[in-house]
Amino acid sequence: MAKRSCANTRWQKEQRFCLLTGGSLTRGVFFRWTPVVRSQSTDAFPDDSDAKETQRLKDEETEYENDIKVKILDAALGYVDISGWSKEALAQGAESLGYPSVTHGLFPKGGVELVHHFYQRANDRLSSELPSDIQEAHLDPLKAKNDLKILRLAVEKRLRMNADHIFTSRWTEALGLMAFPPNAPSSLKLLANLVDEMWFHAGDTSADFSWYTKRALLATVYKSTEMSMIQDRSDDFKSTWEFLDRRIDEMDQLRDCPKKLEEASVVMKGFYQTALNVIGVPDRRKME
Amino acid sequence: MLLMRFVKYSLTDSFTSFQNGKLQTAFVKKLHAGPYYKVSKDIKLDNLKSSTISHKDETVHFGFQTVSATEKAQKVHQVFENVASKYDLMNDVMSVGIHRIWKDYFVKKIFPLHPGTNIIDVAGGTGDIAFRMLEGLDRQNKNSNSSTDDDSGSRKNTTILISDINQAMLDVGKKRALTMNLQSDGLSWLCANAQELPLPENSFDLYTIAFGIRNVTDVSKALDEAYRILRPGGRFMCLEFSHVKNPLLKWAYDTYSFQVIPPLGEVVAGDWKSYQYLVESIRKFPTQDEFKNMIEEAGFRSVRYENLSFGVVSIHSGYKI
Repeated sequence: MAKRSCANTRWQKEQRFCLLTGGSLTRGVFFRWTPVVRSQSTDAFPDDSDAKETQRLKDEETEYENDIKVKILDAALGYVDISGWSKEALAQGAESLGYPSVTHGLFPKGGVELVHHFYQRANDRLSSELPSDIQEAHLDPLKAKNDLKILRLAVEKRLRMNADHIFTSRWTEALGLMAFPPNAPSSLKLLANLVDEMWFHAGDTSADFSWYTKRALLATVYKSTEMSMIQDRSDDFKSTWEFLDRRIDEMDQLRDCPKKLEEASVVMKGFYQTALNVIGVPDRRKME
Repeated sequence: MLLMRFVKYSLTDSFTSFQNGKLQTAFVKKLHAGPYYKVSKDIKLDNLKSSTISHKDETVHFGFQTVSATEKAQKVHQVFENVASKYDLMNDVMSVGIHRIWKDYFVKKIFPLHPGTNIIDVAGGTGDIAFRMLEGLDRQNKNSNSSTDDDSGSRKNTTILISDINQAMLDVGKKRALTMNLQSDGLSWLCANAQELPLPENSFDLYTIAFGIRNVTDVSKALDEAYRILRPGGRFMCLEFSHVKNPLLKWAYDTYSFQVIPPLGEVVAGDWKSYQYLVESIRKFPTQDEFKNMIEEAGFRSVRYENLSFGVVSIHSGYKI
């Protein structure tokens, strides 16, 4: 059995009614986690001023459960190339830690929870390693055009984290699981957090609608590069990085688009006025 | 005439009026006019408060009645003694076969199961859950044996212990085991009370109880026992009838339960009162959330429940971690 901090005392919930608000708050009772002493009476107590304490204890419980789940998920990642992103891998991971294999039931959605865990771990790694990489490459987010260079760096770095699973052909399975309709919302959330993180490091401080367009754009670039990568057979994914370069260039061109549209609209306005004059429709402003 | 009275009761009176037994006696008399009438040797509900009840006994519910704790145990024992032989048939008739789907889904949640797992199926008398687990293990071995060289398969080390308080139910289960083509070398049988299992602590990985926990006199004691005999990391799983929230469905479910099931019991098994107890005990069982709290109080973590069939049946699951 692996060592783990299993709380050996069993906790019971004591119901305490809050008289301060005349009987019920939210669902009516506060709970307190106290050690089980079976001879203890469970009469309702009239005092309750420790809502924070209750919440703290509840949060501790949740944290404790989450710690165990994270440990099992981390252990299960090692079995992905054998058993895929599945309950089997989770069961094997649990067994490697000393838990019985039935513990895979802690993850009712099965394999996709393992995929999301891996994705989140990679995102966290990116957040922690990216600042130092940017400094090494001597890129200053405040200078013009450097944000795209940083983005290119970030996308390549993040995609390389999937490389191991691409070699074992397991990443396509992961992408399929993430695209499955019940899982799609959480997967999109992870992607959204990822692109937000990348733009943050690239120095984005926009406060208008371009916040959304920038992230949507980067998300499409990232996804399309990922699709290219899973089909890539070149050495060290060279053709994928060239694909990425082309996409970044397109992003650059798109940025000039609003200016060009404005120029275009001035020209269109001019055409319109000329047309009106030719027909003979008077310009009302000039008449005044 | 009988039909009119039937209709009148169902439309105007609440279902609690059936407890009086007016409809019951009329129906039974008309139905069993001939030689097929069986004297049901079940609980004598008339002398509830006999003089032998001591003041120290706590009172618990037995269906909609209140009895002492010791008496409930006896009554429940009697109920299952009576229904044992027709138990599986009645399950099929009452739930129109849907109980099979519930049990299949319940067992599917356990897999994948690795070799060396020790399972205990409590209140599993006739073996429905245990046999499904064995079938599942067979299927799992067939799928995995193509890749591994292990010819004995993962079945070898997995043990399933079926326990029930009632020997009659276990006997039915043993008979069924013989007729099935399953390898039952990992299967063992035990007649024991779920509140006091004669088993060492930390000895099982999986504890399942299907449609049994509401018959236990003290549910908390059964949950404590479950916690005791499970190993750290072990799983507690309970399949049980539960409460339907949707008012329309609830009305339909109640009508079906109280109008159809006891008469069916009389027709198929010759036992009205046992099935009356059954539907009443479902109403008396705690709601999904209340039961979840009880499981958490016993010490289990990560407790969650899943409703099947809009809440008619619910699967509760918790871990000793």
